Amino acid sequence: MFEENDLFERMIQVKNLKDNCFKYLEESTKNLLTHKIIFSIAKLSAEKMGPVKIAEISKDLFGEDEKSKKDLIRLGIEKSLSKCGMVEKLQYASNDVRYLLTAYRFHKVKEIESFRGGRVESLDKFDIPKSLWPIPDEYFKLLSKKFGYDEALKKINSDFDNGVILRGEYEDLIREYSQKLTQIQNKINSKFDGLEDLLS
Amino acid sequence: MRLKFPFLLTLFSFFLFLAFNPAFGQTDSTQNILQVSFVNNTATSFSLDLDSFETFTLNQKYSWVRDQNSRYNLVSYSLDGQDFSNILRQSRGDFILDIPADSSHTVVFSAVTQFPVSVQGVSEYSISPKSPTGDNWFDAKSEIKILDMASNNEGLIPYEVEHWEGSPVTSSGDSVMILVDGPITVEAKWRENYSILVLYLGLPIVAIMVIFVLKKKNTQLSDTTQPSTKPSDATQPSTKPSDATQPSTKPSDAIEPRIGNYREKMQEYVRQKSFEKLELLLNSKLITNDKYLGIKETLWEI
Repeated sequence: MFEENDLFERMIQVKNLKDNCFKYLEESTKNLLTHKIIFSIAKLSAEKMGPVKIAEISKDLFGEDEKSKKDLIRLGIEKSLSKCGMVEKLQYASNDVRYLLTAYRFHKVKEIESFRGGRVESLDKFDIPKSLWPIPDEYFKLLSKKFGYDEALKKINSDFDNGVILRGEYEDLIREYSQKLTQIQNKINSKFDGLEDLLS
Repeated sequence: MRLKFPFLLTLFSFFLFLAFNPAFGQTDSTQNILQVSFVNNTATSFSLDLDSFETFTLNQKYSWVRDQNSRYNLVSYSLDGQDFSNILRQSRGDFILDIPADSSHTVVFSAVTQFPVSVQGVSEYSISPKSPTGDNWFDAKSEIKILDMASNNEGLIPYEVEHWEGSPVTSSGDSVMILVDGPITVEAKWRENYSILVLYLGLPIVAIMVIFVLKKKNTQLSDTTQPSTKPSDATQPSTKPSDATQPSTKPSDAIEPRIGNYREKMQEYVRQKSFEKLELLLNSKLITNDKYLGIKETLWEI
């Protein structure tokens, strides 16, 4: 499996793009191959949790991986998307090349030059849909379980207030579930620090 | 020279006025300020500009974290140096204080350190005096007494506390004294008390034996035609102990399944809620349908 930290850093960082590159993300270009390639790379790398091959993108977009189709995709990536810094080429071997998005959040910027130096003005922003982010299943499992234990603790408290359970059982369950909740939160904090804020 | 003297005198008076005028050197500001501080620096002091509203509402948390094992809890406040006024103690939420914005004010809050107390290994108990915040957190250095303890073990055999584990306690009879000088966790360790059981079981057996002996004597003294009915009567008392034991076992039968079911129900509740969260993630488009199905299948796999 690809390094999780590498994927995580790509999700955290925001990439500044000029208008001529940002257009590949815009709705107006959704029928263009470059637009489709970006979304295909995002989708496939979220499924694989790692970089994808041209053949895989071709199968996803055209349902086949003929050379002519693969050449079209390669051209789109190398002439446009890589030049814009949106897609990174990873050469594992001479015959094993894979691709990955450099970021999942993009800002459209305009560079303003003046005698005081250059500065960047943000004009627009675009996020790849979060369902296509390479977030490990483990994170969603932890999030779901955390919610489950959180809700259960609330119910145990209200059941105790209503006299449904005895104090001993109540305290045992509260202690047990609180421990589980702490363990889950610690794991989220240690492995996925900052992701909760990004997804909220 | 005559002209210069009054001039110098006026100049001197002017400097004297500036030197002794307390307003000199200060900006003429109309901005009113609220200064909030805490006795013993239990929280960071701060100040706020009071805008020209009629009153300013100050929110202060009833409790805030001291360290991993303790917290501070608000007990009183003083406005503009007056005597401290007590606050109705609460564990959570905000204490709200309306302050007139007519001039600058100072508020000083006083808080005490609290530690949590956890009593384990008992199904029921009470603590005296009660937690001032009603949530089993007690003020530092307070002495509390644990009373009316009942064992988790239900059944025929009565239990008594053998010893306590965890934080240091002072046992006296049926109660336990604890000095709250840190987070307290105590666990009661019980043992079976057969002496009471012997008393409970022994008395009926002796009673049955006495009745049996008396009956037997009666049968020996009575007519020879009567014994055919007597034995059936005589067996009656012998069934009674088993009847008598039934009520004592019934409560434990009634409680055990309820507790057992509750634990299972809660485990099912946790699963159900976690699946609901997963659906929520799907509906909010944080995960794809394929991912949802994959995670759902393995979410609670052991």
